[in-house]
Parts: sequence; structure tokens; C-alpha cells
Amino acid sequence: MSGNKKVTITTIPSDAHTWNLVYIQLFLEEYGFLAQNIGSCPPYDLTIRKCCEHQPDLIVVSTVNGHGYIEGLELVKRIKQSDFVNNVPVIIGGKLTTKGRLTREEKENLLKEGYSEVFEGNSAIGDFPEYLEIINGVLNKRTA
Amino acid sequence: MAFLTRELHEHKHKNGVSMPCQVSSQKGTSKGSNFFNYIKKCKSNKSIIVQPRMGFTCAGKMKAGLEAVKKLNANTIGTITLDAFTRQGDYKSSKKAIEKNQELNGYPIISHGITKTKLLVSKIQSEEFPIQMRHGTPLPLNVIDVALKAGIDATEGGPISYCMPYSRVPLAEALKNWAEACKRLAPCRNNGEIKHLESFAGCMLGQLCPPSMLIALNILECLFFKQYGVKSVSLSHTQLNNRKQDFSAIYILRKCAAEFLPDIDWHVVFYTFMGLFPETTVGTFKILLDSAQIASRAKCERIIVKAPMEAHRIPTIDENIAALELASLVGNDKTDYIHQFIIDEEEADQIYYEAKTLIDSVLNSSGNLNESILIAFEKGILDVPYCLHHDNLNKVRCSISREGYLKWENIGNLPFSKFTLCNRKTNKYLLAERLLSMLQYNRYKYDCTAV
Ligand code: B12
Repeated sequence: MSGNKKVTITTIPSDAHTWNLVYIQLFLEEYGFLAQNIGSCPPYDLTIRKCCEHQPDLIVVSTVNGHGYIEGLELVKRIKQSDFVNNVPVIIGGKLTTKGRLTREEKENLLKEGYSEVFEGNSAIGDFPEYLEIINGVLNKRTA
Repeated sequence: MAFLTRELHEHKHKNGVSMPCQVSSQKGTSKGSNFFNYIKKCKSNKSIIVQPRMGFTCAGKMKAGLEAVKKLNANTIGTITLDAFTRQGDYKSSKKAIEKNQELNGYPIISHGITKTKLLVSKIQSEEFPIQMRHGTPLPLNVIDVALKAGIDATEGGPISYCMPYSRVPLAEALKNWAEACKRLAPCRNNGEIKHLESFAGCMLGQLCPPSMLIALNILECLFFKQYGVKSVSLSHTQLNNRKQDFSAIYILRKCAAEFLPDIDWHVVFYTFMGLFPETTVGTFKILLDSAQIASRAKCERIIVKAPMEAHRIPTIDENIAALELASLVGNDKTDYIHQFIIDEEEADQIYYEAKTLIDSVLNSSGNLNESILIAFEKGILDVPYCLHHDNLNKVRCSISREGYLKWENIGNLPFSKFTLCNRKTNKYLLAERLLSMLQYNRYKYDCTAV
């Protein structure tokens, strides 16, 4: 992986969990990304502002508190409406509802609203490297 | 290493360890609240109280949950856990979720309001069944006001433990808001009732925080509560990765409480492991069983349990009940002579040295406790490993030793002159993998049956 791809790691406004953020940051850094970690409970505006500053190639939303579906929809809507980062791929992962798994409809809604990919369940982190390889190929092509 | 058995009998004052004192009422007008009296009663019966971490969006389901806990043939306290929107002061979102019938991760007390909550509480709460509100709120004044008005007389948290791991609110703001909230919980002329406030500092980030830091933060938060007139507190400790370190830590937690809080009522509450939870059925029950044994052998007055589906989703009422039943059975088993209270002397001495050094350094840094806490975090005299909060220096690191003890790996600016760093070699590469393996230590330990 090339060393200059940038990623912003964020979560939803109500989520206080941070071990997931710290872990995902280390994980992505090992894949060569330059990571910006916004930390817990970021208001929507803060995520957008930080993304505008950092100009990431990828935005990763990690959330486990069970409100991921509700606030994840709103967050991606706002990212897609913003003038500066609306082209950046956004993905979401973690534990997204209080029931364990998303229904198929919920997952489709997240994708429809703008996420490029949704990761959940035990295989989430195992599936992640493959996605990163693909996205990196896409990003390299874009900059070429 | 010498392992000694020390008894924790109520009246044997060893090393200054004594049991909580009687609170003498100011003008003879103070009376205990439900929570306060119930703890006293169960303590004199020498039985451990079991409590869930339960909270549901719908008031009807919340009621059913509380009723099920009350019905159990065990000493129980009911819990109302709030949802994350309410914790963050986003009452609009919790209201909207109720209207849309969406499920939140707790009970939205503000959106349901005082009248509805009061009705809920008054139908269920009794002398035999107190209710505690658990809320994870950095600025708690609103939720505590509503809870008190609804008849709930016990809650928990603290300006450090509910700010740093729970929000991006500046610590200075949390201290101010918590000060006001504590005044509400203090007995006053119009209402002499002794309400209860538990410090959540024993659970900083759920895991990977060495016990001396947890103990120091517990004491500092309780001194903070006391300063605003709170008369009854509890100190918390969450299950670590090794039973002997747990015993040693609880022993020192009590010793420090006796030393620093001689004039208010206190007890110790134990938490089943608060980090990445085991996933197999057997693993989840084994860790719960262990936690109940540790809590009861260490004579903790109360245990907060976790249910089997913890690793995946919010547990159902039935799953909560199963966990409570098991914990009460094991915790009150007087025939178990195998699992004794055994501490590691050397480790206990080190924990005491570190905790005392931290507390003294903070208390000596200024004449004002709140200022001292702020200065301490700024200078890194208090520092929580891996905590991303802006007011935390995040310079210290810890890891799990070969024995399974949580040990400092890098003490940052902590004011220790005597310490031993973790004996496990650190791998400078594969940091993500290494962090995850530490977070998953207990998951491996309990899920893998080969022990
Ligand atoms: C530690 C912990 C806490 C700590 C957090 C401290 C901190 N600052 O981080 C404390 C005690 C403060 C806490 C508080 C709360 N918690 Co909590 N907490 C946990 C616990 C035990 C571990 C979480 C953790 O540290 N994970 C570490 C990471 C590395 O692992 P992971 O979460 O499994 O993430 C993996 C995958 O999900 C995936 N992944 C995650 N994000 C992403 C993103 C991408 C792109 C990809 C590919 C993969 C991926 O990769 C990770 C590695 O495999 C879990 C239960 C459990 N898992 O055992 C509950 C849990 C997450 N908490 C929960 C809840 C509800 C809360 C509270 C609301 C209180 C409550 N009602 O019980 C509050 C939160 C308040 C708020 N405002 O959000 C629920 C969430 C319910 C749900 N989703 O259905 C859980 C599942 C417990 C439960 N069963 O009820 N919690």
C-alpha cells in the first residue's frame, strides 16, 4: 500500500466507545494510511469540519453503542451534502443496532443513503483488508 | 511470591481496614433512603445484593424488567439505565426515537418525563426493592433532577468517570455541573433523606486501566461528592484479568476508603468484567461465576452483573434474570470453602503505594480539590491509558503481565519513584493485533475450555 492515503476515523454523535476507534486507527495505520481519529461523541458538524481539514481519501465510521443505524443515516446524509467531501467514500462498521444484526432493509437503507460498504458481525474485521486492497486500487487509479 | 490469606471480617481492624461507619444525622432529622437502608440491612444479613445494568426504551418494557428483577428470590436492586441520546443531552433524538418506535440502548428518562417515570417507580420501588438510575452523563444535572423528582434516591457516576470515558465535554465543565448535582443529593433542611451516589471510577474505559489508578480516582470522586454534602457513597471495582490482583485491589480500595472517608457511609460495589466479553455460552457463564465468587469472597456488598449476550447486543429481560440468579446463587453460597480470599502481599503493597502517591499528589497540589484534579490531569499526575479525551494526557500505557496482572508499561508523568514495569516483552510492530489481544485476554481465557 502506498503511504500517503489519508483516512478519517469517526463515530456517531451519541457513541462514547473509543477502544474500537483506537483499534481501527492502528489497523489502518498498519495498512499505510495516515489516520485522523476524531474521538468519541463528535457532533455531525465536527466530523464534517475535521474531514474538510484533513481531506481524507476514505471516511470510516465505527460505532458499537446500538444507535449506529439511526445516526449513521443522518451522518452520511450530511457528508454527502457537504461541498468539500461529498466525493469521498464513506464506510460504516461495528454493532449498528441494539438487536445484534441489521435487517436486510436497514442495511440497504444505509447503502442507499451513501455508504459504500457496511461491515458488521464477527467477520467484519476479517473482511476489511480485502476492501482496503480494492479501495486502494480505486484510489490509485483516481490519482493516476 | 508470597501469597497470604487475610480475612476481611467486619470487626478485625487490620491495617486500618474498617467497615463503613454509621452516619450520624446532623440534627437527628436525617433518615436513610430506600437504597441506603437496604444496603445496611443486607450487610447485616451478610448477603450480597445483585443488580442488573438494565434499561429499555419503552416504559412498559422497563416496568416489566424491574418487576421481573423484583420478583427474583434474591437480594436485588432495580436499575434504570439511560440511553446514549439522553446521556449526551440530545433529548430531541430520544423523543423522535420514541415516536418512531425505534429501539434505543436505554430508558430515555427526560423524554418520558417526571410524571410517567414517577408512576413507573412508585408502583415498583419499596423498602425491599430500591431503584438506582445509571446514566453515563458528563453533565448530569438535568437527569438527576428528573430522577429525584420521580422518586429515585440513588444514582452513580462522577465528574471524572462520567466525563473522560463518556464524552468530549471539558473536565472543568463536568466538575461544575457535577458539583451542582451533588448538592441535590445532599440531605438538606427541607429533605433530610440520605441519598446515595456511587463512583464509577472503578470501571474507567471498562478495561486495561491499572488498579492503583482506579482506586485513586474512586477516592478523589468520593471526596468530591463528600465536599458537596453527599453522605452515602459506594466505591467501585471491576473484574480485572486475575483473581489475586482483584482481591489485592479490593483490599487496598477498602483500606484507602477507611483512610480517606472515615466520616461518611460507604460500601464497595463489584462489576462483572466490563471489557470485551466472552462469546461462548460456557465462557459467559464462567466469567460471571468467577466475578460472583470474587465479589462475595472479598465481601463486596453489591455486584453488578453482565448477561450472556453482552458481546453482541442489549440483553433481554430473561437473560438479565438468568445472570442475576446465577450471581446470587454463587455469591451467597456459604458452603464454598475452596475459593478463598487470597491476596498477593507484594502486589497489594505496590497498589497501595501507587494509589496513595496519586491521591496525595493530587490533594497536595492546591487547596481546592476541583482545581487539583484539573491540574493533575494537565500535568499527567492522573492519566488514563488509551483515553482519547482532550483533557487526558494519554501518555501512560499498561499491559498484561505473564501472571495476568495489569501493569504499567510506560508511567508517563505519574509521580512514582518505586515501580516495576510489565514483565511481558512488547512487540513494537503489529500494534493493532497486540492491542486487540490485550482487549480480548478475558475472552480467550474464558471461551477456551482448555485451562
Ligand atoms: C468497553 C465497553 C464500554 C465502555 C467503553 C469505554 C470506552 N470509552 O471505550 C463503557 C463502560 C464506558 C461503555 C459504555 C456504554 N456501553 Co458499552 N460496551 C463495552 C464493551 C464491553 C466492549 C466494547 C469495546 O471496547 N470494543 C472493542 C472493539 C475493538 O471491539 P468491538 O467493539 O467488538 O469491535 C470489533 C468489531 O465490531 C469491528 N468493528 C468495529 N467498528 C468497525 C468499523 C469497521 C469499518 C470495521 C470493518 C469493523 C469494525 O472490529 C472490532 C474488532 O473486531 C461492549 C460489549 C462487548 N463487545 O463485549 C459494550 C457495548 C458495546 N456497550 C453497549 C452499551 C449499550 C453501552 C452504553 C449505552 C451503556 C448501556 N446502556 O449499557 C454506554 C455507552 C454510552 C454512549 N454514550 O455511547 C452495548 C451496545 C449494544 C448494541 N450495540 O446492541 C454493548 C454491546 C454491551 C451490551 N451487550 O449491552 N461500554
